[in-house]
Amino acid sequence: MFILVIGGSGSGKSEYAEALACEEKGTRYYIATMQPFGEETLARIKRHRDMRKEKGFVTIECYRDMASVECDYAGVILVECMSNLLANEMYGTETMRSDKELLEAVFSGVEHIRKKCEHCIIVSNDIFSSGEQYDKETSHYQMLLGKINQRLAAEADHVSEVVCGIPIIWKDIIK
Amino acid sequence: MKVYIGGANQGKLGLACIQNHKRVEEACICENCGREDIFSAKLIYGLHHYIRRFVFSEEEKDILIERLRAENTQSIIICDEVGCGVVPIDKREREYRELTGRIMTELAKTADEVIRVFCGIGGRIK
Repeated sequence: MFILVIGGSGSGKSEYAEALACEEKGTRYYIATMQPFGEETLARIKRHRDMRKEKGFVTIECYRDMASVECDYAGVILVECMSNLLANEMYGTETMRSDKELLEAVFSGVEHIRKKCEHCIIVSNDIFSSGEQYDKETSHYQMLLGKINQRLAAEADHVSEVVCGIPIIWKDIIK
Repeated sequence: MKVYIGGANQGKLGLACIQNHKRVEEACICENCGREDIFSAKLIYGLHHYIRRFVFSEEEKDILIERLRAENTQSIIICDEVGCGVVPIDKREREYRELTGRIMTELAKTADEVIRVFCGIGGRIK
């Protein structure tokens, strides 16, 4: 099963995704994509670590190139989250890559992860309804994340939008 | 009239084309269309851009709604959801978002169908 969970910041999307993961049997991997830079991200990472402390996840830190993640076949792999992964792929290395190469890096990673588990849950961010006209760089990032979310949604069995911790189901294919 | 609403980069135009048997090339692109174009076009893409370019007051807002309702009853209107960010400091930016929200609310009231698009998926909310 492939599940996509999307929400705005502070929407409760992580908690919901983690609860979904905890319903599944077997090893639970948590792929953490947030790169620790400074106090704010460290605090954020700590909050997330505390939140899933008792939930039995094995954390794998992966800031980019998810295709290189090595792990045993798992019951569930939760990727948190796509927006960080994309930012790291775009800005985390010295080399400039084309959109095609960036999307290829992201999707080969997703494909790899999906082969490694029974259930794959990917969390992504809703950054599309602020109405702001961002600078060129930011709107480019926004455009790519939109593309990624759309493709993940097309491939997913289940798509939820989380609002105030409540999931709104956009797609649900029972297998 | 049919309305497609949703965040930027959600695949609204693609979905509207599939659901209504239109081609992308048929769309009136509001980023650079003429002022009168939207009153005859069958597929209107990015009404928020039109509002940013041409609608500056309550009066202009009312005229736009009235004319679309009267002159373009069979139109398919696609617009970005622009109201979910922090209220902007700039006055015109505030007005633009408010006007866009109000216009879409009014058009949705009389539309036959309203579809909210999320990640390329359409949810019929009216």
